[in-house]
Amino acid sequence: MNNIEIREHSCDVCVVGGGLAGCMAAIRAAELNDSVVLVDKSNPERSGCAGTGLDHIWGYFPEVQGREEVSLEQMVEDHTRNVAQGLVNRRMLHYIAATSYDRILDLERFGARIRFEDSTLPGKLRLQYQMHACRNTLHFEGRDIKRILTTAVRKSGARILDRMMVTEVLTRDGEAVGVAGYGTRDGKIHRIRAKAVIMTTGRVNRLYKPYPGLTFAIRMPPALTGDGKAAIFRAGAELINMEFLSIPGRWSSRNLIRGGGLPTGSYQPPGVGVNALGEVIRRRNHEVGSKTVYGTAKTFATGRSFQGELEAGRGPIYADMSWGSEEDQRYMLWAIENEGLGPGFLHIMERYGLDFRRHKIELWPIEPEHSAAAAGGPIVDETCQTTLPALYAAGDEVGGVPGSVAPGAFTMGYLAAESAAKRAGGTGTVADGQGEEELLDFCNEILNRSGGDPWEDAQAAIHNHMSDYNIQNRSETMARRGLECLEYLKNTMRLTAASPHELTHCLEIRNLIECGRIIFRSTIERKESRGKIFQRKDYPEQDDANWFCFLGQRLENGRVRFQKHAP
Amino acid sequence: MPPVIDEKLCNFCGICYNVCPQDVFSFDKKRKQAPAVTYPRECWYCGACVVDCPRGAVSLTLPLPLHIVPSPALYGSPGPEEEEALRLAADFSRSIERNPPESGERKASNGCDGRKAAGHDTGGGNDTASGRGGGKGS
Repeated sequence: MNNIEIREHSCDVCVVGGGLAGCMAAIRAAELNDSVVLVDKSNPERSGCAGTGLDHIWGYFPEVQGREEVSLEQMVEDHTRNVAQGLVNRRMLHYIAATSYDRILDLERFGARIRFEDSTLPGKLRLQYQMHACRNTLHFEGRDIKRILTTAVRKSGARILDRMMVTEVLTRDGEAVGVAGYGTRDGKIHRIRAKAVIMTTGRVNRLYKPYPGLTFAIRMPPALTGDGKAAIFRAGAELINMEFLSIPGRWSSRNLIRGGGLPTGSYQPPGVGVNALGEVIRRRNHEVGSKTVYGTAKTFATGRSFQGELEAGRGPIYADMSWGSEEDQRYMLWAIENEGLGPGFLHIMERYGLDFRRHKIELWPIEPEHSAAAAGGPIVDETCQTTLPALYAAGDEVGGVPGSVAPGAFTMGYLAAESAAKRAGGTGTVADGQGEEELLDFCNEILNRSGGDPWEDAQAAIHNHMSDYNIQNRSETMARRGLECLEYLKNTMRLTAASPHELTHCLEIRNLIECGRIIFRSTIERKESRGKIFQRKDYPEQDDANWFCFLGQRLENGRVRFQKHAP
Repeated sequence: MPPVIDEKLCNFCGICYNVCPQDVFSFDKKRKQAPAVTYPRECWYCGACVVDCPRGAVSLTLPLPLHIVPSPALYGSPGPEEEEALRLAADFSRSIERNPPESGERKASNGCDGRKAAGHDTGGGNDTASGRGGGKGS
């Protein structure tokens, strides 16, 4: 029995997820189409990884890198070797590197400040190191980048549907014809018919026990639960790299601050990483330049690592940001305030009587993440189309471009919009499709139930299973057991919800379980180890002859299929 | 528990309720009351409500496991070597080049080592390529 009201919407292009990629996609699509809808689970003004800031974007800045005799091709090669360990969608990476600067200029046009009088570089840009061997990362004023982008979305004419969690892609005759989701406040099911769909819901967070012990105390947004990847998989499109994992993720202080990767970025210029004896383990930003374009990336010049210091009995590790002039301290506070989570962190510092002159900040390795290094998600072609026609993806949603991060979001968002707009332009009417039945059944079952399991318990079970079977001692037997446990959970839990807010969490649980099962299945299939991102006890060696490839997983008539793809 | 709204300062605009990515607040604009913090344990401490509140009425309170236990910094005289490092770091952060390189001055093999640009000489030292799976088949 259906107890939920269903609302119908229709548009040319539907963008799902209002982060950096989704906003850029909606703006570009609205320039090319009459009717564009941007759907966000919360509110694009402060949603996604850059919700309260983004202070750095990498790209190719010809005036600077050109002068330093680094070509675009060299930078792409550096990224391919040192960031992606060779396994990357090279064509998409090249596109990102080549057009990131264009999108940065779009941000400036929308109102973001990217130029600074004190800089002596061409264009008055501030460029730093991030993960490349060359100085290619713009440091800019991005605390309110999401508000700026949301204003640009509104001006573009795109319509924003906020507080709506998309869980299904509607299909008809093997093509995407819209999406379906749940109103997180209104409690209604929404069907949005569209000529083309762009998924940009980002990473799968909330799979592993958070280091600080609280479910929502994680480094990246807890609202990101793999909703897009689960929906794309259920619709039959192919996901790659889902078995890869970032271990350890980063170093942070209780996950309250983002930029745990001292010394680059937001802690500069005063910040160094020290051990408990006060010895400098990671030096300052300008000293990172010991990497060379085709060489191995050396860790910050001291030859010692945070983890090594812990193991040598000289822990814990701290970020010490106490030195420098008043001006240096002000610069650092400016940088922290503009990076995601930074505004909250500075507020907390002040409220609890902490300051960087007097206090160093303890750092710990955080829980694993399915983050930028892992790059799991749908495989896309050169137009950002997934293997399902009319379904596109951009940003962290996309699989196969490790380290694409913010520039990947802006550039792929733009590209996916151009492709989707073209597709929508050549499609006569908005077709009606199917795919929301499972969503309706799931919601009705919960609403018709009195008493049962709170979503928090299912979340804790997911944390247990993923942390137990997919971090250390990974092997075929462990992954099979992990899969069994998630399937047991799926079949045994009797979720209950007293409000749309709680039912939204139940739908997140459904997607986290879906993603966890995909991860375990691909883990069993890839019979090798590959760098830090994939370690198996039963196949400890890297096997390039058989496994230098993307491992694809998709559903075909209810059966799981695997396929290898050359990068 | 986080966040906390000062009801004396709140103007009932509902911005915190509108922007919160975790949807921790409840709010009814008609009732002229401060938003209620309905889901305090779902706060992400991102600070959106703090920075967007036009009245400075919202503050974040940490649950005990998230407290940062104070630890004294090493602040003191940096010494001549550290002082130089700080000066270079400060210039580098702001992208101030005291002696900007002329176009074509540097060798391509020395790629993009920025230390020279920051007025700091370097041996260059190219490593041979190694990286796992380096470039194979790409």
